[in-house]
Amino acid sequence: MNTDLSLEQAPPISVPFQFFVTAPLFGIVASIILLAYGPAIFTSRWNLETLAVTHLLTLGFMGLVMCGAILQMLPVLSGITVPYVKPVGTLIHILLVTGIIALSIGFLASSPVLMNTAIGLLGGGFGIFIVVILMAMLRNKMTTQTLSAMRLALISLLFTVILGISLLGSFIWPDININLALLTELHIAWGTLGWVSLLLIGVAFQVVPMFQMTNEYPRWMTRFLPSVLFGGLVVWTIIKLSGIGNPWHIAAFIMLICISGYVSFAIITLWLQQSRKRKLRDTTLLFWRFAMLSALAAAALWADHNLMPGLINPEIYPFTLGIVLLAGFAVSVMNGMLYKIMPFLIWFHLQHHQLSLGLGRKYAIPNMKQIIPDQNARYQLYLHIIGILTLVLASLFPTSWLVYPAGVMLMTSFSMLSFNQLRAVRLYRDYKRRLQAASEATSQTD
Amino acid sequence: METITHTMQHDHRRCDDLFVSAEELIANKQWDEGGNTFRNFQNALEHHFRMEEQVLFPEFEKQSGSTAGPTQVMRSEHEQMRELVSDMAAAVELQNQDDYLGLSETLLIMMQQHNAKEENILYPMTDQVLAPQLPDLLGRLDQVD
Repeated sequence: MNTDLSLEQAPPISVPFQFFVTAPLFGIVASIILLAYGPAIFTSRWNLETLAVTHLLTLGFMGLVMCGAILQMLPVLSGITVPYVKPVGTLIHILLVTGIIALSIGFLASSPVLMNTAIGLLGGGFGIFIVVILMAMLRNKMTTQTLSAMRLALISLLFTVILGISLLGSFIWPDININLALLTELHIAWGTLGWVSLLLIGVAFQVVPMFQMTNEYPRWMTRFLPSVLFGGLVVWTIIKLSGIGNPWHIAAFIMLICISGYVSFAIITLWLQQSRKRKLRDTTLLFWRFAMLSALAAAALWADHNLMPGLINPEIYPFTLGIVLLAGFAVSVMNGMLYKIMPFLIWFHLQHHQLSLGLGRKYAIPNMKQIIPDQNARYQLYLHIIGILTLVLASLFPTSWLVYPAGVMLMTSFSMLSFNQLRAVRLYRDYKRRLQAASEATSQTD
Repeated sequence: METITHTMQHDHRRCDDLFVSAEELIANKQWDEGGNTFRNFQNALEHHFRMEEQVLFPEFEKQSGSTAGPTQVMRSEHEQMRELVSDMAAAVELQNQDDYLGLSETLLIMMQQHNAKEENILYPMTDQVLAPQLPDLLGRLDQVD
């Protein structure tokens, strides 16, 4: 066994923070586009502006948070360090950010040149990310359930990106003959149920018992759920692609099994949190609960659409499902986690800095609740929840009365998140400067 | 068979339980009982650190031939936690609830990520590297006061 594993809080704080701080900006831009186009966004899921809003949320907010979190968590969970993490992290960040900008403007302006650019930038950014992380994992034999789920999530990301690039290619070169509807379905399934959900499930196995002091997830779940879900998605994809016989029912059956898996995860998470040892009211916990309820609502929508067709308008269904799953489930968990990870890392790096400069306890380093006050996080949570509920209503009844208030609330919510982050970063810089100055003053008097 | 991982993990849970009780009492402003529970937590945590710093880490370092490896990082994280706990003790003295809860939130994450690293990586590594002297080692851990 390798005994020279690093247990440092690697990487440097700037590596995850550049991802975290840019993420909500894309949420703000998504809300602005929603406001600019208004109810027209909900006329068809194939509208280019609808695609722009969706990808600003999925790639811009969610993608950046997840990449930053993986770069941060990998060393803590496993002692695996990513080589040259600072330049590599920065390069990935630049490629992804410019790629997301190119893609969304490409959609809005219907510009093949920009879409083409986006293929290069996003393909490059995610490509490097996947290779770097998988290679770091391969160098280390250690495996925890969280790491195996993370590996499957990364493979799902690879599929999602390849499918996305193929779809984008068909926009740029309409002569290419591909089954747009089918590839889109696969792209969405691998993105949401593979990449996003497997990662969140794997991370939950680790952080839910840790941060909320709950019991562990049941062993059968941590051991088998991620691989069953991944395997289910593979089989589902093969049936979908083969198109043999009457594949719809078999495919739907496989999907039903997968969805039951996600439902059991959400229910067990809620149950663990309900019976947690630490009873304090906690904003991150509330984000998690709203996310798990959203996951259950998404499953109910899916069941309603597939098993009892006719209850919900099939034109509306993709919008409502998308909002509940992406904004309600995925964005909520990430938003909540940022409120734990960011203040902790700031405190950790400052205190570490103070100790390593030999300053003893000269300065009181602010604690997590002083770095991001609970009140600020709580107000943002409320706005986030009301904004999403309004957006769900807006998808069902796309009138100006609902669409614009939803847009304004989400824009404000993402802005508050951004404000809370930037305030914390400024505090970090102030303290770091003070510690540096104190250390220089001490060494001069010596 | 009894292992380092199992023994130490169990001790982590003991500290966790005291931590949670103290935090809850202080959140309800029950300062007398909260203060006592906090001191029990502080003692349990110090005892856990001693088991590691006096027995486990030196043995591990002897085997791996280096004091600069993972144990060094763990020792430095112990220092960080000691700082937090001593600030918490001051908050208990002054009955400053906001300070206590802010510090305890910070300590919780610090402690949990530290425990995760030990339980996922360091203890299993120790079990493997120190397998031959395990019974003796477990005995010595038991005797740490």
